[in-house]
Amino acid sequence: MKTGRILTGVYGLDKLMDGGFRENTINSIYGGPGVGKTTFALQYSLFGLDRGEKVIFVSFEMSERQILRDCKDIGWGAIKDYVEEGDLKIVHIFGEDLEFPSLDITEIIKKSSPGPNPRIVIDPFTYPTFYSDKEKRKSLSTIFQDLRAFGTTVVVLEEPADSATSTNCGGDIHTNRLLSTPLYLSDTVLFLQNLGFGEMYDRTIRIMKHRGSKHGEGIYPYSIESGLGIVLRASKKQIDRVMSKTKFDDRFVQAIEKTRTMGKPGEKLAVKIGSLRKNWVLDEDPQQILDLVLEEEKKSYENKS
Amino acid sequence: MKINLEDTLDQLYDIEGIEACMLYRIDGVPITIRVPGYREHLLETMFWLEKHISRVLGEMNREGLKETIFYFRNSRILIAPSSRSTVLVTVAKAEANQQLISLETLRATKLIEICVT
Amino acid sequence: MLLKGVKTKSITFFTNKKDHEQAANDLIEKARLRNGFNPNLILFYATLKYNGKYQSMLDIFHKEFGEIPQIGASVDGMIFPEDMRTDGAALVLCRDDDAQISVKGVNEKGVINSAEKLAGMIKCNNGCIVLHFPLVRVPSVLKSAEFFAKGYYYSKKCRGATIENQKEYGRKFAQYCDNDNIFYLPPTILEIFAKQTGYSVPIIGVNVMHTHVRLNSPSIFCNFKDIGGGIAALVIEKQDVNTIYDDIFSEKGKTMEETRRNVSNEFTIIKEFKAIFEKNVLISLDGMAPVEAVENLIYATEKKKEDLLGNLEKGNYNLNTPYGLLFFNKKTNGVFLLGIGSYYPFEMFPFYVNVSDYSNDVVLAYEFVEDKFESFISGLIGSNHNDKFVFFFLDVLVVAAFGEKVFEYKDKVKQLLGENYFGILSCSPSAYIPLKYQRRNYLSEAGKNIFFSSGGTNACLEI
Repeated sequence: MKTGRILTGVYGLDKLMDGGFRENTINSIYGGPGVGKTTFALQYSLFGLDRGEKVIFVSFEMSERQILRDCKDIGWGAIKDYVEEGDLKIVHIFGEDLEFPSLDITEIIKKSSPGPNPRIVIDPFTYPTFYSDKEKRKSLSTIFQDLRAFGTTVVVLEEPADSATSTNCGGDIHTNRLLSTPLYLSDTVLFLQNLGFGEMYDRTIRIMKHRGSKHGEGIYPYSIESGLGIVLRASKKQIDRVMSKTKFDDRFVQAIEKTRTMGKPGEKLAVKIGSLRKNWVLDEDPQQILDLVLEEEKKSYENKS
Repeated sequence: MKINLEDTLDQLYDIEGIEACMLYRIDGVPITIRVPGYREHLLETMFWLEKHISRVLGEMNREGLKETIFYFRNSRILIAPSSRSTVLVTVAKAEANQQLISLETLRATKLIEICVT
Repeated sequence: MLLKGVKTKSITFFTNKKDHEQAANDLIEKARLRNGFNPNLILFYATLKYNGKYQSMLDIFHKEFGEIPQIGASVDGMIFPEDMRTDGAALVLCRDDDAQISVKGVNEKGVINSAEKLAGMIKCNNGCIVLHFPLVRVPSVLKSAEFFAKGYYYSKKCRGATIENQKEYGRKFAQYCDNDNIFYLPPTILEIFAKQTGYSVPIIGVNVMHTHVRLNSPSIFCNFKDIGGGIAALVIEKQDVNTIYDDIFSEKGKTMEETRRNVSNEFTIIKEFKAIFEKNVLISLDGMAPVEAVENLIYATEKKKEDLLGNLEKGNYNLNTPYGLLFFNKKTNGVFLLGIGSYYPFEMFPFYVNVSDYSNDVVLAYEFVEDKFESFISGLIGSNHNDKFVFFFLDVLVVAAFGEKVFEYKDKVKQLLGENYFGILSCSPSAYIPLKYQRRNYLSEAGKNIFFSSGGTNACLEI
């Protein structure tokens, strides 16, 4: 696993996300009713708990009792033990009770946290956005900043029933005022969808955004299985598309060689090309890109010289 | 015979005369595609498809159409539902053997249906 | 699937990889996984996808399998236990320890000459012969141009000439087509082979022709050689080989009149013509050029003209047509159905049966075949196929006639035949069937015990 990564706990997802969530980031799970957002959040929590991590679960809708009952029904009854042991803290808040969301939420989380650097879940994150309309972006930005400093957060966002995004995989998030801001501010956005035909591609996850990481760009079918939760069923080919390819290594090596004639800028370029080499996932030859980059960098170097 | 969605698309893509094949979800989201590298005439076709596919699929769903064929530039675009939530699109050269391509496309839709249901 | 306890065993491997070498290697790799199976006959059939590349593929197989009898051709489709495909290549390995199997082929100048030469090379007392030859060989650009030029020339000569002279030009054109191996005439060829074998052994003629015509096609494969427009024979010397032929039509009559009555009950007659023909060249219908005589009746001619002139090289010249000219055989009382609707840019209409023994009264007709779905595989129905390898030949017309429904054949055939079979889709097969093997009085009798029609026939071997 890449260092600085938090495993999502969703089977089959991490390899499409360069190893999982980045530490101390905000990761939004977004989708319509019944797609499995809360299941995702619980699965993320349970995965960490099973590995000795601490979790704080902030719920705006369900009480602790409801959550534990739902977990028991999925086959995760053991989560109750974590509550009793103090590793998991479930906080049930009514959104209307928040007066200053940007202060309240983070305070509540800090006070309730069972330990340092916990996994944080906020389910759903709709209330604060409704509540503070005027300074929404600033308020959210502050909340997110604070949460990043505190732990790795999964934020569940409910797609409104009249959302224009419901038919195009969340591609057009600009049209939805209520969602666009938290999605823009998040480090990772996962879009879950369920069309309801009962076929393989009805339930799909799409990785809309995953800052600083390579990730799969397709739609991936998933199912919700008793005892396991969400299981992603990407095909071998889909996974292969996200894996780095080594067959063009010689191209990169040659390109790096060429940077040696460019002095200090060349050294920096060599590092960039090295990074590109490590993350090259395409089956196509990178030669065209490398030629373009080298040509422009060389031109600029020669002009400056 | 073990059926695999990706293999089915690979086999379809290998058919003589087929330039590209795509599996779409009924809402217009592409599930998996097979296209060659950069081909300008294909690019135009793909842009056209991107703009119209959702509407076409909606109409097909509403009218219960079994297949729809468009002729765009020098390509023949065959759109055939493969299951309740997926649709297979093949882009073939206009001069290819359309009868056999239709047959193979329909064969692929049957295999895809087995995979996704 | 490898079957135990049966005499002729077969395994089929299929590929449709784009690149011909990859395809051949893919087949070899799959075959290697079945080590322990040593074939003594190899069948190789491939669609036009690999046109021009067959020899490379055959070389790869030759290197792998050595000197084993091999036969095959370019076809339009294949049916085997796992699937039914119209694009790709199939390699069938067969083993039969009871049979003596040989494959021979020739590619001489002249169709009759080739057939006679090949017939002289083979011997079969008991078993069957399967011939592979093109029904119509489309040669290279140069040769095609020559064909069109000859057609124009003789057609022009016919204008205003007496009937005798017209027939003379028709004869010359027919001779040219024979000399240049353009049209193979199944009844003529079958007669040559039947005579050579003492009329004792059934012979199937696999008439190879593609629905989408392309230059330098079709191709015949013989012992790992692409012999192009040559003729190849698979000889299986074995007891208990069952050869079945059937067609989709009703029975012929005992007299010509009865046959005509049966035909008018079965077909929808559009028009009757008085035909002038010589050998396998139709010179006129009611004094008009054949295409001209029918063009207003079938409405397909203009499109065909565009296709031929514009698209032959691209392979978009479609030979399918629902219309047919019915020729009545004066000797057998059978009928030959000639699909009409193809376009020649000249007036004469050459085709692939010598109709010298046929009546000058011909009929333009069509037939609804929607309710004849199972008739196209009638040869496979009702026979005892237990533990035998079934090698069958179906009319590719079914694709045009039934479209998507054609896939039902895959399941139907599997139901009928089990796991030990292989079939090809090409032009409808012809056959010489000795009387004792005939199931009924086939309408498609083109010569004594020789059967052929340009659509609606099927044949199979149970080995």
